[in-house]
Amino acid sequence: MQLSGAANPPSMAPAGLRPVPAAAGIGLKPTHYGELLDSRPSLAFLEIHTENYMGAGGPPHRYLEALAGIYPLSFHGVGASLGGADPLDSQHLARWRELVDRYEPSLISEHVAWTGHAGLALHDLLPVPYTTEALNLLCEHIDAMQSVLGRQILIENPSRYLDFLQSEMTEAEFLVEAARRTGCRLLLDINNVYVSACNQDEDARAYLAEIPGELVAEIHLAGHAVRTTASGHELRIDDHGSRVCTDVWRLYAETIERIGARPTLIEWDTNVPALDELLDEACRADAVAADALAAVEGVPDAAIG
Amino acid sequence: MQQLANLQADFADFLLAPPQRAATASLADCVAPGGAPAEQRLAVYKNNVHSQLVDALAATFPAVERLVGQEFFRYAAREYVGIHPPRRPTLLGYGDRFPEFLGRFPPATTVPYLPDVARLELLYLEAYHAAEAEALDVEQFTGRLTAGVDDTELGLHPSARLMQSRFPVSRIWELNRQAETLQGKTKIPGEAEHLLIIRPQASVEVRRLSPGTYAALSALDRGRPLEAALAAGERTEPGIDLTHHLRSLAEGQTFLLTENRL
Repeated sequence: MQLSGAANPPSMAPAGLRPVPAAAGIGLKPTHYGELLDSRPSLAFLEIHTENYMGAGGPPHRYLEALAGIYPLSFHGVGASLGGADPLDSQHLARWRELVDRYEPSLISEHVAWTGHAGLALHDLLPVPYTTEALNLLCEHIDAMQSVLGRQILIENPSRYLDFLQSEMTEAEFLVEAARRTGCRLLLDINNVYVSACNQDEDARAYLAEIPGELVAEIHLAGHAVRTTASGHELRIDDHGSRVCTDVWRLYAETIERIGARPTLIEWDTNVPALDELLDEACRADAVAADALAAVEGVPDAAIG
Repeated sequence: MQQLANLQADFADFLLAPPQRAATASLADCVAPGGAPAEQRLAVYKNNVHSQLVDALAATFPAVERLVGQEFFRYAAREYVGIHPPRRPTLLGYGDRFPEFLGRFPPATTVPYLPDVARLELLYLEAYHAAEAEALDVEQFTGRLTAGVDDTELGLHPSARLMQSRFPVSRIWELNRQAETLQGKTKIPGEAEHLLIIRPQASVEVRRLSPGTYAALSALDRGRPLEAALAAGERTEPGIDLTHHLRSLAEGQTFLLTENRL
């Protein structure tokens, strides 16, 4: 194995950890705990929001422990505030470390966003201006998190409803530069790319083309809502409350064609459906990826299945 | 320099201000032009922050929401968010001052038992997320009752929470946990309650105790020796058969051995 460095990020799953197959997984929801354990459907991995497992014990940990024996886990944080101007919360990172030590998740990720300021936690993924100052702080925070956890992390592109005039580079440039400097990799949320591009009248395909495939370690897919504002403008709201839309499936297929298959999460966090519907969406992600790979290899669709 | 800190301070002020308050011109001027106006874009974030926190409170206090109705609950919750915004990166435990807030919230004073229902729901969730521990079985417990002094004492399971109320709070709570609320149309016996909320295994139990048993458990919970706890129980409820009450609690995996704190 090569030593880690800017051009050679450390390998994803350290020795001894279960590797995550480059196929579809789902977000773990408490309403599905029992059914998942009973039916054990075929899934590449389960992803949790790490903050929901920061209690000392009880059913969340009982179920997670049982499911960890069946599926590789991905720990996805929503509260570290990597994009914040404030230093990271060391108690929060210590709780993260305890959970990583306990469950040894195969993937660890956080957002390029800020979630709190001056001691307050706002519990939303808030936008960062893409400036040199913000990039330097983000890199310091990624270094700090990777060093406390002793693991490589993935950073996720946020869904955005605005851009700042202060921005000096594109979001893709900002993310890629952070990954190059810190040795972290990217969690590419294709729904977020699409939502942000629509909201800011930008080109989602141009964004995706800027992301080097070797930096992408995981993909997120989700549904979003379309709202019309008082002034008659359309804003897409990333509510993770429905099926993945057609345009996002198309972008997913194009991305897999370009970079190959990746562990891919179906996120569904509001109006959580029955497990079957979630599994159906995961099957669809596998089918879309298989078709995309077949297209690359020139194998006719009929020969796959 | 420090531009990021200033921007985030302005943005955070805007997010936590009352919903109807507009963004300052300096914040709105930072938003790149085009498409929907800056105010509408900023409002998406503000709406997300508030609805996320209000939803979190609704998930923690479902019986309170059913008692007062969704509209009133969301109004009260928004007020609470403005006064007590969260300070931790996890929402577990957010709302710990909601019972006290409801007790002082003038529009809620017509429902005098509301703060106690909220307190019970908070303790229920605390018990749900509390640490695991192996409780004593009945034989081990009976052994402790007759054993001499050594370096261990009897304590409560880490999930155990005690509360008393001058209202029949657990009965009101039970009736309002279901989706179809009875909204006070059912006669509820009107006596005060002494409660143990505990999660010895996977599910949380709410047990109603006699006043003497409650006094004994409270003493144990404060780290008092068993003898003192039994005396406290008898003082509160003369003639009570505490051994019987405690043994039936031991059947429900209530007690642990703890290090002697003396």
